[in-house]
Formats: sequence, C-alpha cells, structure tokens
Amino acid sequence: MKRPLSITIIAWIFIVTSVIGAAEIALTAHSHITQELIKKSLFSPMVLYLISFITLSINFICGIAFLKGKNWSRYLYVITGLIAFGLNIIGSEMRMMMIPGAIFFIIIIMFLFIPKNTNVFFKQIKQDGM
Amino acid sequence: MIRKIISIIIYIFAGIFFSATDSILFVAGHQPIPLSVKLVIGGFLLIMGLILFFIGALFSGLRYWLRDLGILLIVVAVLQAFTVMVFFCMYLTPDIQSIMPKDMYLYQYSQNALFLGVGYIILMGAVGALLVRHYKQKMQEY
Repeated sequence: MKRPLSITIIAWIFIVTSVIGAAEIALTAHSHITQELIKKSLFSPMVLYLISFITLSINFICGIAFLKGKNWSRYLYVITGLIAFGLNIIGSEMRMMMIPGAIFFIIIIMFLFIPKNTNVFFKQIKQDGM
Repeated sequence: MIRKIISIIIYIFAGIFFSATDSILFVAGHQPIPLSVKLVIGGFLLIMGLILFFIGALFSGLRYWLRDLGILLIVVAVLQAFTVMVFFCMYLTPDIQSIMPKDMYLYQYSQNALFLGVGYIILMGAVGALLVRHYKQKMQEY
C-alpha cells in the first residue's frame, strides 16, 4: 500500500523540526533569554540539554521510521511525548507554554492512529517484514 | 539518491523562505509598517522561495513537482500556525514577558499584521492541499 500523504507530511515535519531545533539550541544556548528560561526551570542546564537532545533525536528517528512505515515508531512517539509532558509538568511553572505542544501532540496522534488507511499502512509493512 | 538528498535540502531552504514571508507579514514596528513595504519584501522572499523550490525540483527530475510543492506548502502552513500559537501563549505568560526585551516587536499585533499573517498561513495550506489534490487526480487519470 502507498504511504498516506498525512504520514509523509508528519514525517517531514518531524525531520525538519528536529534538525532546525538542534541548530537553534546550539545557536541560542548562551543568549540572555535562554539563560533566564533555564533559571526558571527546576532541572539543571545539563539535564535540560540532555532531555532536549534525546527528544529531538527520537523525533528525528520517528520521522525516518514513519516514512518507512515502521509500526513501533508510532508507539515510540506516544511514549516519548508522554514522558516529555510529565517532565515539563514537574520541571516548569510556565504551564501555558505547554498548550501548543499538547494540541500538536494530540493532532499528530489522531493522524497516526485513527485513519483506516494509516493503520493499514503501518500494519502491512509489519506483516511484510520490511 | 544523492540528487534526491540535494533536492530535499534545497526544499528545506525554500520552506525557510516561505516561512520568512509569513514572519515579515506579522512584523509590527515602533510605527506601523506600510502594507506596500510588507508586500514587496514578502513577495521578494516568496519568489526566492519558489526559485529555490524549482532548483530543488530540477534535481529530482521535475516529475513530482506538483506533489512536492503541495507538501512543502502544507508543512510550512502547519509549522507557521504552530509558531503563531507559541508566540500567542508567550504573550499570555507573565514570566516570559518579563524576560523578553522591551523592543521585541516580532509577532506583536498591529493593524494588519494578524490579518495578513494568518491569511497567508490559510492561503499556503489551501494552495498546498489543492496542489496535492490536483496531483492525485492527475495520477488517477494515468
């Protein structure tokens, strides 16, 4: 079965935003705003950078795996997303900033799990052993 | 394979130009920026993005340019909508407002910034969806 367009779009969004996000973190690490935001977090800077790096890496891997139709990538994204939200709730007092991410997360999950052709696409690849 | 990778990298840069067009439309300054100035700068960035896109399409053989442009425009629309939402939440968070420099005017709402910026996002998404639909219909004919 041909890859659904929604999956292609989601995959590319993940790949591009992971690369741009990594570059942005590297470029703005020493900026005044970033330093102030880090001070407001309960986690140390090292832990924050580690969480960001792991999340971006997993998103990048998920993007590639979505293109290849790997079924595990859907579940990996859900688990990573939920852990990231949990860490945000524990580590940050700026709850308002979690709203865009939450909306984005829910929309992506809907596109990954609800449409019939998407489910067929992911499960078919699994059956084919690709 | 290498040609495909090069075309994808060029597509990403084209997408950055399309996104920059939206940022220009959202910008508000100390004094309102004339609409004509915004449209000229935005139009220039848009044309640059299109030129880059077609250079990228040349690398992938021009066969799927309708589909690729459609997907790129949808991706840009989704990411810009997300960015606007993030900025909106930033303005509603007092902790962040206190950190932001006082002269930060990007995405601050002016007379026409919101209308133009959101309008551009909707237009990008709609044109992208139409191009993909057109591509699908064309494929079904063959």
